[in-house]
Amino acid sequence: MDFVAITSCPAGLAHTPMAAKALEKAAAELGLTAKVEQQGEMGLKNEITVAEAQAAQFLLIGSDQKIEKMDRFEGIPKLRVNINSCIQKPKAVIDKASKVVAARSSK
Amino acid sequence: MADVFNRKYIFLEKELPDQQAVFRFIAKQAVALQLAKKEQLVLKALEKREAEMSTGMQDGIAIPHAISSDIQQAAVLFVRTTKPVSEWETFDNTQVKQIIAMLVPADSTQAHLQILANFATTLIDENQRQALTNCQTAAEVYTFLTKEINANID
Repeated sequence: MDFVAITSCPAGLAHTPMAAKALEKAAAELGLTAKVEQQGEMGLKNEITVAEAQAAQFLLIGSDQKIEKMDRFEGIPKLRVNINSCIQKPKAVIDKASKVVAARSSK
Repeated sequence: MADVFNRKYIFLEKELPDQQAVFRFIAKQAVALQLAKKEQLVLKALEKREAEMSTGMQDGIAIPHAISSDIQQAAVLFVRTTKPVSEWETFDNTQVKQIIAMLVPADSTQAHLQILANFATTLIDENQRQALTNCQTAAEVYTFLTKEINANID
C-alpha cells in the first residue's frame, strides 16, 4: 500500500465523498495503491484496518476536523491538508505528500 | 432516486444577486415543494453549514447543504442564475452561477445520504461539470444528473 487517506468535512455529506473519490482517482492515475476512508454523516465508510494502516507509507488527512480512531496509525508518518485542495488538485496533493514523507525519512 | 430529485426541483434563469438571495430562494422552494415546514429553519441550516466552510467549488458551481430536523424529505434542488452570484467564495475564484442544494433530514437513511454523495462526487470530474453547464433545458439537466448519479451508485 502506497498510502492511506481519511477525508472528513463539517457536515460529512458532500465534500467528504468528493475528496475521497478525487484522491482514489488521482492515486490510480499516478499508479499508486491507496485506500481512502470517509469519516462523514454515514459514519466510517471504507474503513482502514490496522493491518492496512501499518502497511502504508503514510497517512494523508484531508480535513480540519477531529479524526476518529487515530490509534490505528501509530508510528506511520501523517500529513494534514485542506479538504478543498484534495478535491481541486488531488494529484498535486499526493505528489507533495509523498515528497514530504520521503524528505522526512531521509533525515 | 425519484423522490430525491425530479424535474420540479430544477430552477433555471433565476435572478438572484447574492448568496443570501439564493439561500432564501432555496428555503422558500423547500417549503413550497413540501420538503420542509419552516423557511426560517432551512435558511438557518444553510447559513450554519456555510459559516463553517464555503460550499463554492470550481467552474461556478456551489453545493450548499442544510441538515435539519425541520426537513421532511431528502432532496436535491438545482438552481441556475442569469447573472453570477456575488459573495460566494469558490476554490478557483470563479463566480457561482449553478447551485446544487442538498436538503437533508436529520434522520436520513444511508441510502439517501449515498444518493446525495453521488451528486457531489459527479462534480469532481471537469468533463462532467462542463457537461452540466452545457445543459440548456430543465429536461437536459434532469437527464444528465440522473444518468450520472445512477452510474455512480456503488
